[in-house]
Amino acid sequence: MAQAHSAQTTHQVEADAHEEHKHPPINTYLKVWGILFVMSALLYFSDIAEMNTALKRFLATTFSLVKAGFIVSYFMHLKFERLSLIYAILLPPLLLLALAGILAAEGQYILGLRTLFGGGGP
Amino acid sequence: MTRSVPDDRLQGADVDQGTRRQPESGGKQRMDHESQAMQERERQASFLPQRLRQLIRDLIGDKRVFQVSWGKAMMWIFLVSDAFVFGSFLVGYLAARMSTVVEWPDTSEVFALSVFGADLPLILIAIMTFVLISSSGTMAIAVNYAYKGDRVKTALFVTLTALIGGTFVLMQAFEWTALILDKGVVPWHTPMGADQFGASFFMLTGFHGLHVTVGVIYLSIIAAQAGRGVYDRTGNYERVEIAGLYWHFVDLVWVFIFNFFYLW
Repeated sequence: MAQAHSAQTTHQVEADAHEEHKHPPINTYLKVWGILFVMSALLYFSDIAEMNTALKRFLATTFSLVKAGFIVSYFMHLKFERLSLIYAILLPPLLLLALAGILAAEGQYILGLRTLFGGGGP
Repeated sequence: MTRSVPDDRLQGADVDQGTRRQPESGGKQRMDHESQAMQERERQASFLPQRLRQLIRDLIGDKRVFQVSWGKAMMWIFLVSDAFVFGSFLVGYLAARMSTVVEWPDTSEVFALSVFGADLPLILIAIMTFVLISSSGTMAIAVNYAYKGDRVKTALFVTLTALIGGTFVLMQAFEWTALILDKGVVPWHTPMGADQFGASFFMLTGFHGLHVTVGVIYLSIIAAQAGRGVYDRTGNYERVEIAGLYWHFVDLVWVFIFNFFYLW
């Protein structure tokens, strides 16, 4: 019983260590590279193609986020790190969304003022 | 009695000496025997997925949380702060663009390039995007060879990455020249629309271009060190991986600049 237990423990630790030093094979990188290429091409054609501006922006932003996700998780290897590191890196930049919200309100306000006062200035 | 030994568990949880004394790049002997046993008991008792349990274990223990080398941790700290810098620039651009009453110039036209008489919209920017992605790909391959300790191929691919990055800088210099001299766009004035366009453009791409330039220098140093066999002597190729993090981050920033400035 005790022996079986310790064997299992060793196995778990080896799995843990292996997980930390897990590197995807070179093919994975080539695949991600291909995906990024295709998505960039799609982004470029979305700009050339005649379509609704809102739809174009939505598509482009979605593609960009997917691209960013691939770069961060595979190229920057973050997918294979511990969750503690992943959260410490990915959560703080979300604060920028708050900044964007605040400055969007501010931008609207300034635009309103400029329109109100004859649209002079920049 | 065979299954649980409460005293051992307490000691393992509170003291955890082995983890704290760990040298930087050991990795394998990270957990001492007591915490191994503790993990195993935890695994049997818990219903949480393995990675979540690892997260909780990392955060509650009196020990190092991230369990990466210092070099890597410092690079990540720098990159997160740099993400805030670029994020703030992009948000500033958003505010400037939202608040102007003058029409925003059409980027497809501003960055069009006439090739053999045909006006191709945004073509140079698209090529620059592909160039930067390619350099990211070669960097990923370089890091892959670095893991394997392949000196020649690592140096080769890092050099290739630096060269492609240099190409990007040259193309950007060309873009700036065309914009300033032919179209008269300067940071304080934009002939075809809102002046905020020029200001945002030069701030965003200038800062990004500066990062690429610094990255090319950084990668050249790494390539030279790898080629001379510095990392073979220290037995540690991690610096290549850390440089890779920086380089991929530069690519990442370009993804957002491309979307929000050029395509928007």
